[in-house]
Amino acid sequence: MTLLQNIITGISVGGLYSLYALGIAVVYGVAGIINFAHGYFIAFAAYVLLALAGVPVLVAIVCALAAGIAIAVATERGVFRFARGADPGTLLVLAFAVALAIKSLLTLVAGSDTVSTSFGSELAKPLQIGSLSIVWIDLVTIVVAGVMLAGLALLLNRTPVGVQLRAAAEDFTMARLVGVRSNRVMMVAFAVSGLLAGAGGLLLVARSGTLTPTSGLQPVLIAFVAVVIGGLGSLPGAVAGGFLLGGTTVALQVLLPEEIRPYRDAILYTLVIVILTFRPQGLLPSANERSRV
Amino acid sequence: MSRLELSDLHVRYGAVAALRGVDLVVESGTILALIGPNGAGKSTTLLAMAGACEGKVSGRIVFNGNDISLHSPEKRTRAGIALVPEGRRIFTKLSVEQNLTVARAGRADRAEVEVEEIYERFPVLGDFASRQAGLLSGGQQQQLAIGRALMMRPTVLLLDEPSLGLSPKIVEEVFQTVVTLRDEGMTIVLVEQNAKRAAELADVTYVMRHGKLEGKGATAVTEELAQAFFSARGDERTSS
Amino acid sequence: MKIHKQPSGVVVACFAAAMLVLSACSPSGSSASKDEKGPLVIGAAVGLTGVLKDYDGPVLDVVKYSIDQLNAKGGIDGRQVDLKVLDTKSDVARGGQVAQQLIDDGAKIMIVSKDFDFGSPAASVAQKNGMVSISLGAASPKFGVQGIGDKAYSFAPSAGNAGTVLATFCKENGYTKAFTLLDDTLSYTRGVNSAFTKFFTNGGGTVVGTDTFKNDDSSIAVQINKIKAAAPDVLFLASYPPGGASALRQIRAAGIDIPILSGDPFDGTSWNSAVPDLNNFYHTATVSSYKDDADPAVNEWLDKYSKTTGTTLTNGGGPVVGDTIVQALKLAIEKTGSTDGAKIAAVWNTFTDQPFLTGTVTFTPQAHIPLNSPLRIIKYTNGKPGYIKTVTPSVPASITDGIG
Repeated sequence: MTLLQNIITGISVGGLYSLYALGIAVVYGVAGIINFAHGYFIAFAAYVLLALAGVPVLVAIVCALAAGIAIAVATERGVFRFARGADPGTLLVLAFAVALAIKSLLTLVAGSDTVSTSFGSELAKPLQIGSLSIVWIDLVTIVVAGVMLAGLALLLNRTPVGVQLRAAAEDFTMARLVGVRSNRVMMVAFAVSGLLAGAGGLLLVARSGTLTPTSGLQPVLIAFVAVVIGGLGSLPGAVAGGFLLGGTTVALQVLLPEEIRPYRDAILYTLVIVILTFRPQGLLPSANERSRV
Repeated sequence: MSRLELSDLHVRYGAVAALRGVDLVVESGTILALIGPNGAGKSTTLLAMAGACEGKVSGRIVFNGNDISLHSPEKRTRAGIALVPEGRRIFTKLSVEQNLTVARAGRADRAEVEVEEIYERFPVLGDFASRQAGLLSGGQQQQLAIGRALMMRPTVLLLDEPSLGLSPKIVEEVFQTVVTLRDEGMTIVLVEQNAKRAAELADVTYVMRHGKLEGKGATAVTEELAQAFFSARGDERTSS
Repeated sequence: MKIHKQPSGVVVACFAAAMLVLSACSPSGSSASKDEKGPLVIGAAVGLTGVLKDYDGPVLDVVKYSIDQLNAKGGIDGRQVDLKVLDTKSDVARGGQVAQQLIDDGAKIMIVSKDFDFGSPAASVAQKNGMVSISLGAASPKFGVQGIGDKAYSFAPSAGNAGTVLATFCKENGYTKAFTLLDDTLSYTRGVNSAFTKFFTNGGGTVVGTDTFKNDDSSIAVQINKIKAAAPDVLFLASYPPGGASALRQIRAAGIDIPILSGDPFDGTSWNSAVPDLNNFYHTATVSSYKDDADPAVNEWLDKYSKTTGTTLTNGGGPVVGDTIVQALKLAIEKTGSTDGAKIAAVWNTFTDQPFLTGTVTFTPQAHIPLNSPLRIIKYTNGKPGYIKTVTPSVPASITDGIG
């Protein structure tokens, strides 16, 4: 029973990490930007949720998701659009600058201290099925991650704009040569990453109940590692990387002997290095990883 | 009616001048072939026409009386210019059908071009409609690349090395398609390594060398073919 | 950003070199003699921006307030006190540089950040200039003779002090089977955890299980399973908000309702909404900021503070240690008639159960941080915090307890 419980925890944490990672991968695939600001999109959406304490929960959730989309799209239109085609180093620095700007904005408005909410506190309780007890938030996370992943898969495979997005992710110039509007597809990519950030932010707050302007830092680091393990630019890779990272974290927490458990993350990242030594292109690399100039 | 006119076109890649003053008129409903050695600037000319050249472009490109020099590639597709690039560059992770439908974005009017039209022309694509495009053979990929371009209902089709890497039989099929399209009224610019065959198909042939047009018509072609013959060994080494 | 840091590191190195030369030439301690009649300048090299903002800021506000109160009544020894504050921008490398600037501006006393790592560079500069340095609240016993020098002090109880008080609290309440859950991301949490474990087992208790987590872990479900399996009668949570509050939320939601004990970082209400209707949770505190302290002077002080400044303390009673710092300075300077570091240290080293607003303080020539002060305990009932008692350690902690 404990084993089953731990597996569910692993899937739940993995699902959360996949949402984080997908947000990075979608933008990287189309725009070639390692969007370090993604973590602050997550924090921004979460703060909007907290700011709306008192309004009906569903309204607050919708607003938080919209806020995630809005900040992501605004970042594309206000910053990255003017740097299109810049070298990856410049884009990375820009992403850092955006991250700092959002963090400063949040600190200015909400302060750098912890803020807290009762949102999701009911979900911290367990669902008891016989001797199996599953925390509700884990179920919710799995469902939300599942719905988001399925929704994204549908969007990418079944809708014209989704197919355009995949075409642009594979060969941006060629996509333009078949008439795909670059501005539109960029905007859609950022909007999708913003929606993922919003969902991630909601789950983050529902899990922890607390928030600081730097709450997005850990998610973005995890996401980045997951994306690299999965293979830069590959969406299925990002999902696989997220689940692998989340599952391994939980597995190490369970299996490591007491004395070396504090070194869990060190061991985790050593495993990451080992994986990348043997598969530098990641587990599910995108078919044609190309250089963008 | 679709007249494409280049005047004093220059392209630089950093310090390297790829095109140095190209003046060229493509007449409606004809096949214009560009031949010449590697690095002469043939592909660069096509990319500049399509708006996808990564170098620094200067000069004028006028299409049907409009200066399109500064237009984005997606805008040019809607004006009626479609490129079938070197190496085909099909979207390998998309299905065959998605490769075609994605190109609807390049249509000027919103009317949907049915994929069936393309399948009629290239039946094999219809057979493999739901297959991942990366799994097609080279010849099938070339058909897909041309089909994808046709989805945009272009008036000018730019073909870059369509015969590259294909077996002689398939090459002949591709060239036959090119002639058919011309006969249907399409304007075609063809860049080819297979200079002899290209010159045979074309209504007018230009020879490019060192970023410039060096000659036009039968005499120039004969000279180019002779040169290509004598340097064949060297060319083979550098061509792939 | 990295490029920016390098030159400032170089500057610090130059300062350090220059100071070595200076201290070799001039006898330290001469700083006290010159302008003994003008205003008394206290320098504060603290983080007004960056990560320390919310740690240093509130304590510094209280220091300012207490100095204003003092100046209104004639200052220290008839001299007005001038607090000069310079921002280290929460940059460790900048601390020494800022401290030197303050000394150049005439500072005779140095106030530094509320953390050993961030505060020690500025404190070391003060030490080399023969001045006392006081941390705004470092809990590491290294802040003092061991880590800096004989003129460095912290008036906030050491992590070991919290450990022994909470172990004593267990003994008083008959808790004998503890589970310790360590958030191993800070040396403070490691220190308080090791001290609690030592004093709890020495006092006859049994640690029935231990586990670790990270402050930003997404889930501690695995750890919760272990707690349930171990069936303890008390849980020691060595953590801090926000992650500590999230852990608390998950533990309570999982139906574990045994008493949970923690340290000062939980003082304050910013994290409260995360665990609605929290019960049976206890933490140590400098004073109770809920106006129910056993010492009426504390409640009066809090009232006067909010009336005068128009603000209330937002993060618990911790910042009140700022008043203790100012009162201790007044006491020593008036007694010796000097701001000389060695003379102030000599007075402070004799403090034995010296009463302050924040409780009694004992220093020795070796211990420059309270090790065995009685500490207040705050209890949560139905989500509301309140003072319950002050606990005096039954077993004394030493200077080595609570080093993480």
